[in-house]
Amino acid sequence: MNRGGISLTAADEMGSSQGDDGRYLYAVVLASEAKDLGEIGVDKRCVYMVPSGNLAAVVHACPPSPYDLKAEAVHERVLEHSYVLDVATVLFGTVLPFSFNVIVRGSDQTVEDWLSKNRSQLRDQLFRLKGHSEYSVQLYCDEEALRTRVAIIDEDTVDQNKVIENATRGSAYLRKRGFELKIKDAVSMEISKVADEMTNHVRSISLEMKVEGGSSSVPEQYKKMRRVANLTCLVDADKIGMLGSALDHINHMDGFSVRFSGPWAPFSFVRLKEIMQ
Amino acid sequence: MRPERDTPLVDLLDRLLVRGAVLSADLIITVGGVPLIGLSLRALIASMETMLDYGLMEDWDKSTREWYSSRSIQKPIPEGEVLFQSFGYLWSGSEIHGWRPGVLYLTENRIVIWRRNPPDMLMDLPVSSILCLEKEIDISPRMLSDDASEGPQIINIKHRDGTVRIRLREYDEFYRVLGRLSFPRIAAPT
Repeated sequence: MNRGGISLTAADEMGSSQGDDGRYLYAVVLASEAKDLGEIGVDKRCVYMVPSGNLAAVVHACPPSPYDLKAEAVHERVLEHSYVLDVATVLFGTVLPFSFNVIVRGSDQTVEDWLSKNRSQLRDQLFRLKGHSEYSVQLYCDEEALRTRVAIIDEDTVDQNKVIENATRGSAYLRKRGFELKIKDAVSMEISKVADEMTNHVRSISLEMKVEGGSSSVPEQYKKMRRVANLTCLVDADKIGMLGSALDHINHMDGFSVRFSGPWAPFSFVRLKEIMQ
Repeated sequence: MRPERDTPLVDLLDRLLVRGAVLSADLIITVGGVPLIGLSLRALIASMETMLDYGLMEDWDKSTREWYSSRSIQKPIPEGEVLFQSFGYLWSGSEIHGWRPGVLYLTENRIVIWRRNPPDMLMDLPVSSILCLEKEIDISPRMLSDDASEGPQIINIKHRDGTVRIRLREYDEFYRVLGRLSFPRIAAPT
C-alpha cells in the first residue's frame, strides 16, 4: 500500500513541514479489508481504506492542516472529493460522507480507534441509509404564464372587462385593482396547491424528506422563474421510477417546472452529531 | 422524469461545503482524547451568499455575483442562528387589509417576517413576549377546497402587546421548533 510514497506538489511541500500526520476523511463504509483505491483523491493523493472490524474509513494521508478555501484549486478539489465518494459508493454501496476539508490529526491508528469507539452508531447509520440515496427536488413556476392561465379560467374575467370598460375612470381603476389582487391571490393559491401536492408525493415515497431554505443555487435555465419548493429526500433505489413518474406529472403542468437531481451521497441525512461533539 | 447529475458545480459545493456531512461541527473536536480537526465549513461558509462574501466564486459565476450584489443590501440582519425559516404571510389590518408575504425567520430570541422586495421588516417579535398560539379555522371558500387540510394554517400569536396573525404552511415544524426553545407557557394550539 502506497501510503507514504505520495508525490507532493510545490505548494504541498511548503505546507507539509509537519509531515503527513493527518488523515483527510472522505467517508465511512461497510467493508472489512484494507484496499488501495489509487491516486484519485484531492490533489491526486492516494486514497486508501483504514478498516476496523467490518467498518472502514476512506482516507488519504496529508499534513494536519486544512486546504485553503480561497485557493484557485478549491473547486477542482471539491470535484475530486466528490469523485472519491462516487467511487466508494460504487464499490461499497452506502457511504457516510464527510464534508470537504475534514482532517483527523493523527495516524491510521487514530482513525481505527475512532471507528472502533463509535462502531455501533456508525453501523446504525449505515444500515439506516442502506440502499438509499439523496435526491434534490425543486419546483419552479413561471408566474406570468400562471397569471394568464388563472385569468382565462376565471369566469368573471370577461364580465369584469366589460364592467371596467363601461365604468368611470376612478371606478374602473378600483375595479381593475381589485381584479388584479384577485388574480394574484388565485396564483398564490395555485402555487401553494401544486407545491403541496409535490411535497406530499415526495414525502410519501421517501424514507426521509427535508424542506430546504432558499440559499442553494438556481441554475441558469430557471433564472427567470421563481422557486417555490426546494426539497431534499432520501429515497430507496427501487422507488426512483415511482418518484420520477410523480414528478413528471407536475412537470407537465402549465406554468411549472420540476428539477430533479441526484443521486448524491446522503449528505443531508447523516445523524452523527452526538458522537462528533 | 429521471434524476440528473450534470448539475452546476455550485450544486456540488452546496452539498460538500454548505451542508457538510459528518464531523463538520467544530474547529477542533476531541473524541475519546483523540484530537480531531473537523474544519467547519459550516462556520466559514454558512450559505452560498457567504461563499460569495469570501470570494470563493470570484471567477466562476458572474451573474450570481451580480444577483447577490443587487440584493445584499436587502438582507435582514440575522440575530443568532436561524432555527426555522419559511415563506409566510402577515395579516395587515391597518392601511391595507390583506396578507403581506415575506419570509418568516425564527431564531432563539425573535420571530421576524422579512419582505425582500421592497425590503421591509414586516414583523419583529421577541420570543420571550409570546403568551400563546392559537390556530384559526379559515372558512373562506378557497380554504374549503379539497386540499384545505394541507393548506397554510392561520395562527394568532398572542403576545404581551397584542396579537399578530400569520399564515404559514409548515406550521407543525414551526411549532415544534418554537416548542424546543423550552417555553412551556406556549400551550399546544387548538
